[in-house]
Amino acid sequence: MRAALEITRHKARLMVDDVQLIAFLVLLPVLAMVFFSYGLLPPPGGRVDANGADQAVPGMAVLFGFLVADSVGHGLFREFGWGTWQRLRTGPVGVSAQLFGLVAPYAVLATVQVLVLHAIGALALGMHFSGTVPALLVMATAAGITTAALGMVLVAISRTTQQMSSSANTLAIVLAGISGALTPVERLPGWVQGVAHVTPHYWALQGYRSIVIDGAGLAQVAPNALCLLGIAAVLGVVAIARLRRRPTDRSL
Amino acid sequence: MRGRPPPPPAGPPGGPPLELVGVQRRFGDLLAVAGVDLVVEPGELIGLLGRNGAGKSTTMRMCVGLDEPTQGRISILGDSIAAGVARAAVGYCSQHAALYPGYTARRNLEFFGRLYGLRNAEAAAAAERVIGLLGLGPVADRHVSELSGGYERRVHLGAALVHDAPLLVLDEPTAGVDIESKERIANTMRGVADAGAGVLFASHDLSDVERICDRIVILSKGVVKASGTPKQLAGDVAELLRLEMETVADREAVRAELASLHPRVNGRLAVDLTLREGETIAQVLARCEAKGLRPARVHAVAPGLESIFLRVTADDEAGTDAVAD
Amino acid sequence: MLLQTKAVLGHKLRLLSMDLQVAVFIIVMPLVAIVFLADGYAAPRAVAGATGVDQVVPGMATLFGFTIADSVGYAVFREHGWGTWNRLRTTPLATWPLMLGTAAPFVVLGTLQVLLLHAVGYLFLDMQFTGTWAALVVLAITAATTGVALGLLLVAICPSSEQMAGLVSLLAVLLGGIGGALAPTGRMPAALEAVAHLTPQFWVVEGYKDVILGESTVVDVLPNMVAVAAFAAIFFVVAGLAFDRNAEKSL
Repeated sequence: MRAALEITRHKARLMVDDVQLIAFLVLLPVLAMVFFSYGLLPPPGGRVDANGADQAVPGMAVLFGFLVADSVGHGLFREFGWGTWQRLRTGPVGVSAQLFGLVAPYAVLATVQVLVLHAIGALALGMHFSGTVPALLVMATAAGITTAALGMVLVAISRTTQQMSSSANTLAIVLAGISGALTPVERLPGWVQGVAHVTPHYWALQGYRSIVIDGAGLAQVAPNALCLLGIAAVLGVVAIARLRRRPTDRSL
Repeated sequence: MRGRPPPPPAGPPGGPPLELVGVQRRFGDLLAVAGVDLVVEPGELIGLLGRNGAGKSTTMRMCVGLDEPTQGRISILGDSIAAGVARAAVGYCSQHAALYPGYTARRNLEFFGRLYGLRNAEAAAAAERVIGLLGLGPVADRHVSELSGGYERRVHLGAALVHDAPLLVLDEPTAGVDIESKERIANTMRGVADAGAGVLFASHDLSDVERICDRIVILSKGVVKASGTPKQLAGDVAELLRLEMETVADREAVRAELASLHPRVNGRLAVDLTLREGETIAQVLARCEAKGLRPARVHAVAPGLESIFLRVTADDEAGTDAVAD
Repeated sequence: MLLQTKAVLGHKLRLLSMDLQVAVFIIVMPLVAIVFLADGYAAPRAVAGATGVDQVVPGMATLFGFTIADSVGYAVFREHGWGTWNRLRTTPLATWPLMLGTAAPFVVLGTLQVLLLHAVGYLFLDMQFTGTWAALVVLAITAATTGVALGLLLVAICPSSEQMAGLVSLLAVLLGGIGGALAPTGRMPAALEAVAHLTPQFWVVEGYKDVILGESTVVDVLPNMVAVAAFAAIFFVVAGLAFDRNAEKSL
């Protein structure tokens, strides 16, 4: 476990050097959020004075939050490309511990991103905040962990960085769309709503939304958070199993 | 030149395939190329040697128009390289393979042929000719990304040969390549020169250079330090002295004492030394005697290209290592 | 020279066709965005029968249209990565045929993208179409050219393709947002409205909306085209000035 933390610290240092990454992960969603809040219709249900920001902020938090999986993928591929993965793997630390260390910083980043977006929304864009901060914290953390797991799975099943990136981006927008991040689920066809229940994006969005317009507290969002963590666990197990078996079959 | 119609432009050549006069290239404070004069005649195969940083690659890049001299003139068949006319007369191979990985070897060759003005049928025929020349038959229709290093390098060279240029400028064409490919490439270069083209190639592979070159040019710190046939160069450089000592300890002591003569270990007990202007065998022996070191045997040996090279470029680096790479 | 331009064009088109990733980003992403945003917007203009789709389709076509800058930039960076860019420079191929051959496929791609998105909107999503397709086509060509020009500009100033990709995304969203591609200009704070006119996206998206909701013909969108073309010209000029022959580019 100590070794895993060591790897985390090393990876985090690399990330902080990458100012671009941070700017990209925060600036881009904030911009999108600002403009969407002027254009999107408010979400139905919940409070009657809901506005565009109440739709845009949770929506962008889901779209861009799960897009962090793309960065996770790039980060992991870089390790393979640098040959350091081989070195790490043949060292004394186990594969799962290493993977944990490598992706943990991204999970933190994704969590912080969600919190920052909601903060900016509430402070600058007129987003309502009817629920509790602990509820948001728990939801954000669960989503962050899930997106890291998602990134791992994408790496496990993709042969090249390009493949991984295309998949990550397509998945992000499609699943975010299904989950109601762009248009509220209520306005989507029934069958789409049904399918959405299988995606982590849906549970995340509903969680954020209920905090924003429904006054949800920890108890109300607990099921959503648990769903997310369950999905994360499944994804994580699958990813580790595959990566353990054929970890050298990766190319940049 | 080879019984085929010459590539555009037609018209009598106004000069040798390649001529550099007083060429300098300055990067801020650094004078990477400090005044190079060089001529490549038709049918000449010239090996360009130099340590890392001597200015080989910079010089070659200027010859093909990837860079411009800050002073001096470079002309190809009498024309300045800036003119498109002159570019058609050069075939260039960069240090690293420059091919499209998603294309087959054949398609790469045909595409580059077309850029030099060959029409479809001509380009296809030229590609086929080059494939035969370089032994690419088995891999001609495979994607370049699937080829081994040796084959890839051959295709890379092929792309410079496809348009029958009167001048070839090749930067380390045999670097890191299997022996069979090296043979093929070296023989092809010789063949192309025999057919009348001028060939300038940079290399770290002294055995190849020695075997196939008409002339050798050694660059050191941006200027031509020595130029001539291997025999001529040997004449300029004084002898190689071989001291056979009696014990390994003695051998090491000689190496330490005579460090300025670039001692190289030869087998268990012998040390090879390169002597320069004004250094005599007597002086060397006297220095050994002063330290109580007595060689069991002393030979004067005809210097090979490697020792010539080391001696000529001795100022470039403090180290006494073997030729880099 | 014509022969060489043809050779380069054919070559670039072939490279493009081998690159599925481009198709994903150029076609799939905006299509998905449109489908899922269609019911989430209010109508952008007080025109009979107008719905949110009439904002979403032109808006996304404009927003994603500018990401063609990344595609053309990446194509150039890739040639650098393979070493073939320098090789091309040593051939008799002059700069203009090389640039033209590189840019042209992406102008075509960008135009097709816009047309496809509008076609999907019209056929499947109840988007209005009161103007002429000719007007849409010429607007799309102009917009695509501007996107490509921006791409060449960014290639000249960015040392790596990763940097360029990040910059394209930021500019696309920032300028696109200000220009009214994400939310109609009318619904944004008045201060932003004034600035909007300084973005190419504003002229493009308003032009598309004029065509679909305002019965505009080629003549009617001429002012928009001129404005957009002006941006293209500026980008090309700056790209030419910033282009350093010997710059080291990395993927």
